Amino acid sequence: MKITLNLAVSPSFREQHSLTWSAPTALAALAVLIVLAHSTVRDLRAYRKAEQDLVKPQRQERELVEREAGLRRGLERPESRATLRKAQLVNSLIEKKQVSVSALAIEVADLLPPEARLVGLAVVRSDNGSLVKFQVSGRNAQALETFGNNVLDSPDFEDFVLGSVGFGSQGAGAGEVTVTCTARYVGKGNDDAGDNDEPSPTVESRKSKVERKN
Amino acid sequence: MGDRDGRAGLLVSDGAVRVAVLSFETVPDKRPELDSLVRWRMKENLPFSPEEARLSYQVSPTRSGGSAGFEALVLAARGSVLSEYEAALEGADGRLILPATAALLPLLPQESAVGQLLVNLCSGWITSVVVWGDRVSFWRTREMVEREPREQAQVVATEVARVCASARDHLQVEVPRVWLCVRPPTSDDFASEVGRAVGQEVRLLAPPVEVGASLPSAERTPFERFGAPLAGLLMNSS
Repeated sequence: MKITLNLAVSPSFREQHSLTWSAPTALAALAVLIVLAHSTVRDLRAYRKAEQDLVKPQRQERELVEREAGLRRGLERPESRATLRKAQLVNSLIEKKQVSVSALAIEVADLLPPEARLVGLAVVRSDNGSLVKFQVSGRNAQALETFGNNVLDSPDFEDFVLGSVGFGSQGAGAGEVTVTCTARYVGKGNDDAGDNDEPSPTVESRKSKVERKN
Repeated sequence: MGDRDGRAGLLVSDGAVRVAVLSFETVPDKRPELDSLVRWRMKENLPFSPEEARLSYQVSPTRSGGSAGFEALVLAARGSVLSEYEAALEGADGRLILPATAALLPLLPQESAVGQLLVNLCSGWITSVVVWGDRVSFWRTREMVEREPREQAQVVATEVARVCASARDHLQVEVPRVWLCVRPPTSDDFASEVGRAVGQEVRLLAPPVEVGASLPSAERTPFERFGAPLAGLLMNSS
């Protein structure tokens, strides 16, 4: 009789073919190793080149930092600090000279007696401040006189000058007295005039600010 | 045993291997399921855990005339024991491990519908195998403690008588042929004495002449004395 028995462990697939595939596997691994080595060398060269390209900007950055530090040290010197303080003072004064039309109109309206009303208001820049022109109408001369006294008493206005006087003869202004006068506004700037978004009529004055440039 | 190609085979003592003939009504188609089933059925024949066993089996349909189903001749040995044996074959390819008696089975003549009994006496173990046609129907191995040839012949005769009776009663197989293989080889008187004791002819199983014919005369003699299992393996592979 024929038997097909065997108690020996049959070799696994790996054991059967490991020797056969060892050489091709080694060759493939060697090829992969060469490719990886080539890639590594190429990447290393690219890294070196990028590193060299980075040297110049880094040197420039260091120089700029050193210049900034020098400028900062210059600003720390006493004479520079005095100049800085002067510039800040001038800028603050300029800020104080800024006039808001709405704030000015409110201030003028506060000076008007009940019998008078503000007909026109204009601001003109002059060498020594803001020159304000009023046109006020009143039911009688007493009201206009009261207004003039109020302007004279106000600390915000100086050099009050009474201009032309007219009498209304037609329409709604019939019987009213209209007077045109000027005064120099020396009162509070925008900071004290409350919050408003209206542009300052003396925007150009900002151009004269002493800038903190060195 | 080995050859010039580096292939080697190992014949282990029958006492190191448990052999059983298992019957199945059906067998699974998938090999892993069949492995698990055979391992589970072998549990009652093993003195150790089935998970420690290394199994080998061959399945064949139940002999005609009997109930329909399958029979499996199963070899089982503890894996750790076989590993120790295998250490001697380190570096050899094409390993083959069998119990010594299994290697003798191809030497039995092909006789269909005739029961044959093979008794192998070797290394202190006596193994009895009943073969019916081309399949093994019975396998039993027991230790032989007797050392004197006369005592051994008596034990063999008793074993032959018991096995023949058991085959007749349980397998419904008559066993007209009894083959005896004794190693170290003994005289023909040993077989005659056993034959007289059991009342039937007992023949010594010897390797075919043609297998050892190509060997030099100096090697032919030891081959004829000890080479029966090797001859069986050669015939099995041819």
